[in-house]
Amino acid sequence: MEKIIVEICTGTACFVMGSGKLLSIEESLPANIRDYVEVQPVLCCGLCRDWTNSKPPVVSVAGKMIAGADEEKIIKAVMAALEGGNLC
Amino acid sequence: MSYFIEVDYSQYFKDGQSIGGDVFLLSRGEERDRIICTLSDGLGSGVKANVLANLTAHMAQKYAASSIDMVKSAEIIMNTLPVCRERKISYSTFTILRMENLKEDKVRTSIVEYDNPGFLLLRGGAYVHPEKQRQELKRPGAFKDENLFHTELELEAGDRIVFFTDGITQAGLGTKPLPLGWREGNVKEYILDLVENRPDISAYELASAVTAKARALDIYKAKDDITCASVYIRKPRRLIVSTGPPIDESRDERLVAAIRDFDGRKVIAGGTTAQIYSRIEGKKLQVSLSDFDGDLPPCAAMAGIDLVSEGMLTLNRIAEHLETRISLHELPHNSAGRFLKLLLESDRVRFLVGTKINDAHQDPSIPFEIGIRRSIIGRIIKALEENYLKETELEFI
Repeated sequence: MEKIIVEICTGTACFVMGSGKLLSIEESLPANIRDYVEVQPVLCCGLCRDWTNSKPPVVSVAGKMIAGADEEKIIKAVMAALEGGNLC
Repeated sequence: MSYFIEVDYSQYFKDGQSIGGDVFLLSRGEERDRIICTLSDGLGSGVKANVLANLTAHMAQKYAASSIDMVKSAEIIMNTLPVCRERKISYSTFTILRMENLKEDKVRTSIVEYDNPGFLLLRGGAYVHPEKQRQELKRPGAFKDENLFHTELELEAGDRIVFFTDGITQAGLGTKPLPLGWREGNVKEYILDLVENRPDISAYELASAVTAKARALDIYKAKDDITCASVYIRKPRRLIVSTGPPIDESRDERLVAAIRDFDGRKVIAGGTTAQIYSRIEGKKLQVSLSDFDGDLPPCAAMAGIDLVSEGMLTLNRIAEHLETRISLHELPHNSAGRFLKLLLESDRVRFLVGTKINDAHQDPSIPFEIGIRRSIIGRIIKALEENYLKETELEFI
């Protein structure tokens, strides 16, 4: 089964706004979905160049960008992606 | 071709003394065209020896920088030294090294020695014994024959000069395995082994290995001041640090070419800069969490680049560490530590600084000041030059 890829931006703006803490999000995921998720740090999503429309930290879940991401938003997006793919 | 000349020394004081009777001085000409260093060993140990050695070394250092004949200078130095009340003599030994024409492919070197163990010259993994000219001082009232040895040399890349005080050759004196001390022959063998096993060993590492061994032979209680100095002539180790994207995209290609064609080690500090390089060169960027400590953003790996790190936060931290004179042995285990290692292991560092402003860094909601790239680079350059004697270049793009 293909895993849901969670890309976490570790660029300067995202990092100071808390993306560093999100890198360990796997540990906070509910046990039933943890195995379906793969966290990948990325250097910079480039969204900070479009500053007016985004807010750090930026995280992408299965290709979908989340601006101003936090644990709750990521978990919600992962759940949505899992349901969308009928994985659960 | 201009070489880099690494000069360093290592020292232990006689056990129980908090001040040394061996003094090493180093000075560089303002235009980096000349290096003069002096090693002096004063009679006895402690404060008295320190005064003798300091006077000798400082005078020798000044005379070597002037055009006064070395024999005459040595005479003046010895006549000036205070006389020891117990032994009724004034005495300190010295070795003076003067290296010039540093910008050419041969380094003209002159060495004057008085009563220290003779200097060693290592070339191509073997000792070379250049001809030394003996000059007698003939001071009236001298308590023994006083001979100066003067050597003129042309040093090449890879050459090493090692010189030391008698605390090294006499280490272990009176112990069962070495009743006559370590002795010059054994010291030479030890240094040759060191260089054979680690051909790139730095001047400091070589000197400190020799002093550590001598102290061990004295059973960790040095019986005399122990000092070893070492010179290493080598091609400069060069590093380029590229940080920040160019002011406009038309210069991206130029930035990438400058990094790609650089002859030396390479660091890219900044996500956007790394992505420009990755896009134009078609190299994959892979973030690695192996050195991630939660404190600074993680590093990334890219073929052809020695280190890819985040920009401003990492550079800020590096400036702080360099300003507090961090040494290679105390580096943190994170991206700043890896970056600092590359900086400290280089002799010449070229900074290629992009001047584009990142809008995302200007947002007032960001909790602390990220700063202006060029002022942080300015701090790093100042610290590298003043605290670590590195050569730097700065280019804005």
